[in-house]
Amino acid sequence: MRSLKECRLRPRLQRSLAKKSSRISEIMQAAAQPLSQLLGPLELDAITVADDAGFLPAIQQQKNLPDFIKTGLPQCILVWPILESILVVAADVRRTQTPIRSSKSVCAESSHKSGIGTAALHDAVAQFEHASPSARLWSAAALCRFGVGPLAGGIARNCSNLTGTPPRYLGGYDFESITDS
Amino acid sequence: MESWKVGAQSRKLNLAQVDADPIVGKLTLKDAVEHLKDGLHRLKELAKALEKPTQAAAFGLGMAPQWRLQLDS
Repeated sequence: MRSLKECRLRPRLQRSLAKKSSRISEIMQAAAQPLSQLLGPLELDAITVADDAGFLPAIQQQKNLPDFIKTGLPQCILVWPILESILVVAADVRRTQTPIRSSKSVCAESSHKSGIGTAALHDAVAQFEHASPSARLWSAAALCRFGVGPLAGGIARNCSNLTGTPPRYLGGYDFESITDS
Repeated sequence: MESWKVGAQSRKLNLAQVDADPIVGKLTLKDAVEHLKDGLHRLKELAKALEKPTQAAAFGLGMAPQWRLQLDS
């Protein structure tokens, strides 16, 4: 059992605000000093993970997180923008009954949102147009096309550890059967 | 609606709330971030002001609404 001196009020990410100690003993001692002598300038963290380059490295250093979250979270963050754009294309194709090859405008719009090149996105979905009517398959195939298929598989497994079922946006697709072209 | 950018994507933020605090309700996210950045940069100065309040400030006389950081631990 840890002594009171070793206890912290709560875990903190190891940066900016976290540099200030949260050890109970140090805080009790610090209470005797005026705040103006204890405080110094601090930097506000970015308000979203997408804009915070230091978030994932900080998460990796947390001792209280299980490994599957430490490894799965970066993969989710990497894959999500790509998957989101593929799903937008797939949904539009389904709605308009338009062949994927004709969906250049949707690809362009999706590409703009995700930061993936229009041609690369269009090429990725078009290549698998006749492989299956399943939007899920296009998504999985496109992920592999961008070289993140294995990551997506890892996410499916890791997320299922969290919820008991594969995440809805992955639909439980078997990524193991997809190979990079 | 406030425009915001998350990574490479543009978003529209609808932060309207019927029962919002009158001061907070008029604040945009951009303004809130600027307030926080400014406050965090001037913590020492702000703490000094709290330690030595003027008489008027001690009784809250003639003062506009004041911003304070609510620290969680």
